Amino acid sequence: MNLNPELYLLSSTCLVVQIACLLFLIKFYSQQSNSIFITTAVVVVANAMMVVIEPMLFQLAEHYREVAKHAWYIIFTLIDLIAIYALFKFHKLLGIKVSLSAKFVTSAYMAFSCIQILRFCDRLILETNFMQYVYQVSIPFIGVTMTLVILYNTVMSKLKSVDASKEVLG
Amino acid sequence: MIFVSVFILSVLIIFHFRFAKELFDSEITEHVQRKIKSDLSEEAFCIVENLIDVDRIRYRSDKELALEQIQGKASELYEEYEIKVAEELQKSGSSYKAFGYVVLKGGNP
Repeated sequence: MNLNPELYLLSSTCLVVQIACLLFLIKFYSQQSNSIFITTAVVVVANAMMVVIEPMLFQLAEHYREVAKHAWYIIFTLIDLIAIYALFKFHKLLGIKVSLSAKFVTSAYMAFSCIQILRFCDRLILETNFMQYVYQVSIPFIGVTMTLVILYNTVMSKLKSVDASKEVLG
Repeated sequence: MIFVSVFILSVLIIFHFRFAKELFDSEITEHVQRKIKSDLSEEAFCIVENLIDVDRIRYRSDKELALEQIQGKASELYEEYEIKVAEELQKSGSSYKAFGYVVLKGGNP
């Protein structure tokens, strides 16, 4: 088990883009973009956790290969669950309407978890390895799509707030 | 070890679906709440009118009695609102909480 440098670079790049979106949202904060702000913040934290934990799991695999295999799927599914829970809880606590981007991110995390579980069954229970290619392609694909959606919503929220302020000024 | 992992993953996926469902349900709940609020707006308006009328009552004891009556009406209206929201949610099958709420309130589940 070795860390794939290309995939790791891709997920790190996604994280950098997401952090830039979060900083942009903090700079141009408006009431309208509350849900987008929360969604971006949750995605940044979840993605940062994944980027930090991934090399640790590879280090663990050098000494305890079997444990690392099991821990891999459990930890990533757990991070997805934490992200969904945080999204749900923050929206509920602050009484914010759930935006389309929040729904998309929740669906993406659900998809992540389903793929993790399918891959777990495929690799460790059935030992067929059918899902290897699907897993290697789908996880980065969903990650990149999620980043693009966040980027699009960040830009759109700024444009909307500019339009709203123009309307107020007449 | 495999059984432990399967168990943990099963628990995690159940919670995934639960929180995701609640997140998607929240919009439906808001829509139902708005609808019921508009249905009950006339009765709520009557309560506000009664409250304004109370201000015109001169004697303290009469005032307190009137306020108590209004408070009773307001609680009834709020209860009616909550039950209606719960029943609507139950009809659409979007919230398991609604079901519990109606049962607790003694409604028809």
